[in-house]
Amino acid sequence: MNNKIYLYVHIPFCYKKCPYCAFVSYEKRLSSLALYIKRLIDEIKDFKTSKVVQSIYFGGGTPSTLKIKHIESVLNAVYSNFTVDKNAEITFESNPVSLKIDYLKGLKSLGINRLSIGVQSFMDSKLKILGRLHDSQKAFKAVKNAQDTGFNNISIDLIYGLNETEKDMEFELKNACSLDVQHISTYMLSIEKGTLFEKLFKSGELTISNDEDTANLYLFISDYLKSAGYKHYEISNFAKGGFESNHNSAYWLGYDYRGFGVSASSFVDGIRFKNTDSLDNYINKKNYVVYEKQLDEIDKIKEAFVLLLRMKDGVEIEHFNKRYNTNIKKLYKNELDKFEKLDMIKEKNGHIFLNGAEAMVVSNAVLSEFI
Amino acid sequence: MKEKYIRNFSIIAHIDHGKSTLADRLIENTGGLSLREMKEQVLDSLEVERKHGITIKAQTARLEYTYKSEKYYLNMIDTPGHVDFGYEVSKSLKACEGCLLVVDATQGVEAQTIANAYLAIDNDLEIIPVINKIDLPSADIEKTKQEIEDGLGIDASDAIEISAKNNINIDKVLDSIIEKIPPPKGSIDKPLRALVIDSWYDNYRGVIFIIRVFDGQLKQNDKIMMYSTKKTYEAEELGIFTPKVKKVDLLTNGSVGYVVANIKNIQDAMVGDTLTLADNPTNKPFEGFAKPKPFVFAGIYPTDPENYEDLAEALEKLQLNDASLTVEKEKSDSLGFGFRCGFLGVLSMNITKERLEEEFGLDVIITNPSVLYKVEQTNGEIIELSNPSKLPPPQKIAAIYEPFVDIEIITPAEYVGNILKLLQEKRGRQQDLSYISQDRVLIKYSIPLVEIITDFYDKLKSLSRGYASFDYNFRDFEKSRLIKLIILVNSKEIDSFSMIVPKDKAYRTAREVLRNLKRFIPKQLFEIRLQAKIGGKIIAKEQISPLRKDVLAKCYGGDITRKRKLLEKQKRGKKKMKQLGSVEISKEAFIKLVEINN
Repeated sequence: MNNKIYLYVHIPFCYKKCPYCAFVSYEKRLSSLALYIKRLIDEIKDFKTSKVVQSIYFGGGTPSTLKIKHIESVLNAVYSNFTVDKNAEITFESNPVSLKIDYLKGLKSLGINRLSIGVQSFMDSKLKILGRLHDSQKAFKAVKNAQDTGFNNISIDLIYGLNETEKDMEFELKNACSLDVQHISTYMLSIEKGTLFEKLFKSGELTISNDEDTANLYLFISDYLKSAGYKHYEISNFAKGGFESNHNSAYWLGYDYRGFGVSASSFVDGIRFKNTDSLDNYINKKNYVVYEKQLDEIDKIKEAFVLLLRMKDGVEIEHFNKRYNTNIKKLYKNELDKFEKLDMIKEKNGHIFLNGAEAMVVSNAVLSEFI
Repeated sequence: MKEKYIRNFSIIAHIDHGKSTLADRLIENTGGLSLREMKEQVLDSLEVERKHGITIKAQTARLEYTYKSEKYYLNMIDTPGHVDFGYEVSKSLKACEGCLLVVDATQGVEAQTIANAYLAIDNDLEIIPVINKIDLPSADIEKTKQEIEDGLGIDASDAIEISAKNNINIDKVLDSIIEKIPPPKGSIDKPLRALVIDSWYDNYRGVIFIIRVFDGQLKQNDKIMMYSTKKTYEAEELGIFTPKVKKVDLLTNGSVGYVVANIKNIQDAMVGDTLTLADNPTNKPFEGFAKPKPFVFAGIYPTDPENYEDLAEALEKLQLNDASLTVEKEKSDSLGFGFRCGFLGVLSMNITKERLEEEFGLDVIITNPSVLYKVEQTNGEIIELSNPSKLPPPQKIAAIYEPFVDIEIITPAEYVGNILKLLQEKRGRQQDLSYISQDRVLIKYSIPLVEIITDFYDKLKSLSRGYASFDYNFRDFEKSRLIKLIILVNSKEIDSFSMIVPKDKAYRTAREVLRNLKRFIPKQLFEIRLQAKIGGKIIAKEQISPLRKDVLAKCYGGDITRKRKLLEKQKRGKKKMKQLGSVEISKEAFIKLVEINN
């Protein structure tokens, strides 16, 4: 039904794994990089579609572990195998330490037009706890280099939830805004299974903000960035007008996307599948794709509805009903009544949406009744 | 079979004093089962029994033993050992001429030793004291004998000293059964007169009952009559347990055996009834046993309301085998449709719950156990109720009467202070306090039943380091200063949390209950106000602030499935939630609340 597709390329390598991160990535495996790129290109070439590529997103891991020539060969494979929209959003995630002028120029020359920089914080003490390789000066420098190279669509990531006071958070946001970037993602720190943070948290060596404080920080961030001219367009994302990430939005809007590489997820023509988390299995082409159980019609509708609610604009009722051949207000009558009464969900101008940041911060409690 | 070669006996003991082990040894030593067939504690047949280490349904075994070159038949009639099952003990004893009173030499006489010995004395049984576990280092045989003499008034000078576990002096027990216990009386020439001592429902055979023949004889295919209903049946199959099932053609005067007679309804073969022959009935029926009265009541609800019918069916089946279990339909605002059930005690309640879960695969919630109250209304009418939410409004109540029990506790003297304090707290009144030996005390109190049905046993054990034992008997209904405590969640009354409490304890209980609610009710999207009310007056308050954070902030590179699974898990959790007014609470939390609230 849709002639568009969004591509994701996973780069599962890091110089050093961050102690809080549970994304699939390998330390000390950079010697496999060249082989990995080769396999990536194979996977890209094996995938046939007539859909037009709307975005290409290099995520990780740390994509900036790649040399420019690696990126070039991957993009060449994409261009030679698919039709790519001339306005496609091409995003590259990177570590601040990697963004030297030369590297940036290389990225620019390959047509990459959006950078996502893992700044995380402007407080050096916090960066240390987070186990990051950079300090705040390097972060400032990286963003400046990018802007000097001519990148005009830059996103930075921030993490919070490490016992920051409101003053600390204000400091973070003031610095973020001073960079004049187009997009800011803010992530609540959560303790993930299998991470070093999990161990430290369990042993009591690490403490994090309690729910109450985290929620207050969330609301504070939303207010602050909104008054600084950013739109709170998704639960964790803020953007200046027109700079919402097309690629990430595709996930929530239920568009087709295809992920290449280790642990990448795909959703093509209604079918979900996911690649293996094992670098070796991927490289050796060993059982590396897992297809997920097909959802029946009603579950597809529910999933689409829940994903859309993560977006500020929520669900456009008529459009949704047409696309999924349903009557969403009838299907969810009880739930909508309940949460409208609780001021969690609102219906206005033909849209159903979470009622602002206060509702977003408890969205699981709401969304779990719609799934 | 000549009566003089028959002996009918039971074994009675306090729990864990070794009754079942002794039964095993007696079977093993008389060849009732080969070693290979000998499972540990063969008489405990139900899975649940094995788990609790107690015997619930009485069973019998006929042992063959040669004494002075003559063959004797010893009918062992097993009895349950726990305080809840006093009724079952008494019906087993009715079928005997004597009993073995087993006392653990490391523990001495305990509360159920006394209770069971009194039952035996009441039934005019020959009591043979048996002192068990004599080979343990902490055994004190002399002291145990002294306690049997002082506490029970039974001559213990020739008590048999045994170790059931290690098979020491088991032959002496067998000899003494023959020497001391009188053979059955009665006459084989009189009309058949047999007592139903147990009955249960078998899915394939219908009702099976165990009888003790007191006069006459019963042959296969005889036309029998149940005396109370005058209904007649054909005795299709007769048999005995050795303890293996063994069919026989004839049950003669003095013997014990089972009868299958195609009876479909357990009500038609009630324990205590007289079985006789249809064409030559006896004119001396037994008095029958009083039907056991449930003392403890609780609501049983399916966790998933869709299982209501299954629960109904399961309870019906359990009732076939448990004459004391009463079942009535009930509806609760928070739990939906369920049943109010009556049990002999808290142990029987827990066993019923386990059987529902294990044998029927049902997931159930049991509400606060409660007792039967008698309420005198201002119009003079007296109503009985066990569900606190059924209590009339205060202005219509003239008085509330609650059941009191006589409780007997035996404890080492050093814990007496602690125990008296506990009994005082539980609104007990002292009746007597005496020393049964130099350092062991028998405490007698009367106490409201409701005070001992939940945590009393655990508290008593922990106060006495496990040494105190207790038993109780129903005493009477007494007028008490009781009021209904109502719990409100966001102004809505939660019926399953209502309770009847002593007026003097109302404030303390209210505060405790609310504190627990606060602990176990998860935060919701709105503020929760908790209140406790008596009459029209709010006496305690708490509040639970709203949920502040519950969000998945990360995206995992398009791994929507992972996100969906998380939400689905949260949803599944919610499906099992119980509704407390507008507030949702998990089953686990609900059960905790129910347990703690009492």
